[in-house]
Amino acid sequence: MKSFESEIKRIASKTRLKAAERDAVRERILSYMEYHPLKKGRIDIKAQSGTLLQHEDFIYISWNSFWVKAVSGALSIVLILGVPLLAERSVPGDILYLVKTGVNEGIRTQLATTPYEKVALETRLMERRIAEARLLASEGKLTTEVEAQIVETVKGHAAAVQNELAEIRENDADGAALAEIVFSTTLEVQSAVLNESEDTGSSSVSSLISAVDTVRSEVDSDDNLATPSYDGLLARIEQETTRAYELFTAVKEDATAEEIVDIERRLADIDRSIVAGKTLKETDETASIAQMMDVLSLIQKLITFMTDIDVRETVALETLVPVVPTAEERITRITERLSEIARVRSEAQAVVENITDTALLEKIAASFDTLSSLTTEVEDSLSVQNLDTAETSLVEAEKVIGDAQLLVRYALEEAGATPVDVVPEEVIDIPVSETTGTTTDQGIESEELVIE
Amino acid sequence: MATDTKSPAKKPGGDEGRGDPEGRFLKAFDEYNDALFRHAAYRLSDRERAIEVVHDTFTKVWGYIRNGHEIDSYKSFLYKVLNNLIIDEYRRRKETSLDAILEEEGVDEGSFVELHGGGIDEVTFLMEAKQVLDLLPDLPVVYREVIILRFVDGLGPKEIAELIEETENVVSVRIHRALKLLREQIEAGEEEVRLKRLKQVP
Repeated sequence: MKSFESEIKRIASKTRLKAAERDAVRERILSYMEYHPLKKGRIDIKAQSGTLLQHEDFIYISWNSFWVKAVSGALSIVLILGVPLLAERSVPGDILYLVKTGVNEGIRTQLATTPYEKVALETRLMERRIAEARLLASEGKLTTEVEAQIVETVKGHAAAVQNELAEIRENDADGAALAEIVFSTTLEVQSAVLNESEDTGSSSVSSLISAVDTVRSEVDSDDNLATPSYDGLLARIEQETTRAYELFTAVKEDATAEEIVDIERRLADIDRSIVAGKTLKETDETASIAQMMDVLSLIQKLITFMTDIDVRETVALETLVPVVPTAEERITRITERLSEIARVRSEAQAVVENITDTALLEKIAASFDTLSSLTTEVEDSLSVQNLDTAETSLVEAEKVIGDAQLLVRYALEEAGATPVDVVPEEVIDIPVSETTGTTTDQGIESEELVIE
Repeated sequence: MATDTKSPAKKPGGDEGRGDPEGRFLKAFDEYNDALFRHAAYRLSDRERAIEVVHDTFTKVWGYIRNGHEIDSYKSFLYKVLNNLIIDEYRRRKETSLDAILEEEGVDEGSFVELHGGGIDEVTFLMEAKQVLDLLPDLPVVYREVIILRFVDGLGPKEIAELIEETENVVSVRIHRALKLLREQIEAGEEEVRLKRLKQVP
């Protein structure tokens, strides 16, 4: 999903000067410049300041001096060894940045020979560019021009990854499919990190967010996207899970108690999902593979969270790897939500007698009937442990009680009662998506902005 | 228009090099005219006036250069001049002054403590970008200003703070409150539509 900011920018960008308007304004400005030319004195001052340099004294040192040669030699060694190291910390705009991208990364690119290595390297370089942009943004130094350059570089690395993936796909469909999952996960993590930075940074990184989101949607909607084999996927998951546990053991010493609990919970969730995926394979292999692909993506995100301090400090683990409720937790939540519905219903029924509008009364009664059948469905599904169906019916029931609540409030207002006293507002938190969807379905939209 | 080839106005904009003030000025026009127009159009809700304000911005900036000043960053300077002209425009329209609006809307500048309840993500969650743009004209001036600078122009809180001469804290609080207000307006509108639909259902 595109971020709120990039979407608002996209829509707003449609408001622009027409070519004729732009030409007319430019022409008027040119005329203004012509009738108000630059003052001569201004240029003269500049010319004078330029001539000052010609009178500077210079010191000439002979190259034959022993000390000059010794110092030059030492400097050369420092430059050869030290500069590349120093350059690693540089960001766009620094003098050493060209050494970082041209020399250091150039050497790494030459050393990556197989397509797999190239995919990993290009992905890493893309992450570095994004990290540089975030660093500049956090310091308020990310100008539009630098951001545009970084966007182009990120797109270039993403394109290189996709080219290498296409090459891998020709000989190793399984390997390509697994590499695609990893790349897609990296983009997802970077998008989350950028969105978080957008809120906290001094400069905007919206163009970069937009670029990463575009690459993400291109990768996810790629027709050539391969599906890995079940066995290949499972082998990779086991390998990565082992790695995740090893990393967890390593980070445990420095992590806070809260972080340890959080990571343990995610590892347990992942283990449960793997078991569920294996069980699903017996009845539906395609669905099982889809579920296992998600599991691999989650493990990747968890590993990134544990290994990348930058990610850890920017994004909450819940954003990257949300907690997956266990069956018991889901049942508890469903039961709580059912109780809440029952409570709101009884409160509403207690004040129905104050309503005088018969048409509205009929509608409210019909809502309660629908609600009864829906809550029965939820209870029936719960009794046979069909939690998915129970949750679906529950969402419907919450929508119906929300509607009934709204009608009761309105009817009481009509009858002259004080609705707030008898039916508190926002008792049920109806999912916003439900109400938004209804609005769109009705085709009710605000009028276009007058400046269009 | 005169045909004197030595006139600065006759030089093509864009490639004149960094040392040439006319070239840099025209390059800035080519680069920022759309962004400035967009900003003015959303602030003023009037296309024709927006064009005039953009024109005036560039003539004022040219006057500044003509007086011997140099401009390091055209982007921030142009936004600054445009912003001042828009405020003048508001005053000309005899709208309530900014101070009075602040008073009337009960806008005190608050602090970061208020933001701890949730970031922009929380406030903008599921907010439709188009709805926000449609509601902009109804937003109090101080809120409209920061929302346009932040989301339409893509400036960061620090840049906005420099531009409107407020602290970053004030800017962040204003953005947060503006989004909250927009979200409340959107939700109120949705509830009205929902009720209308329920009443229509046989």
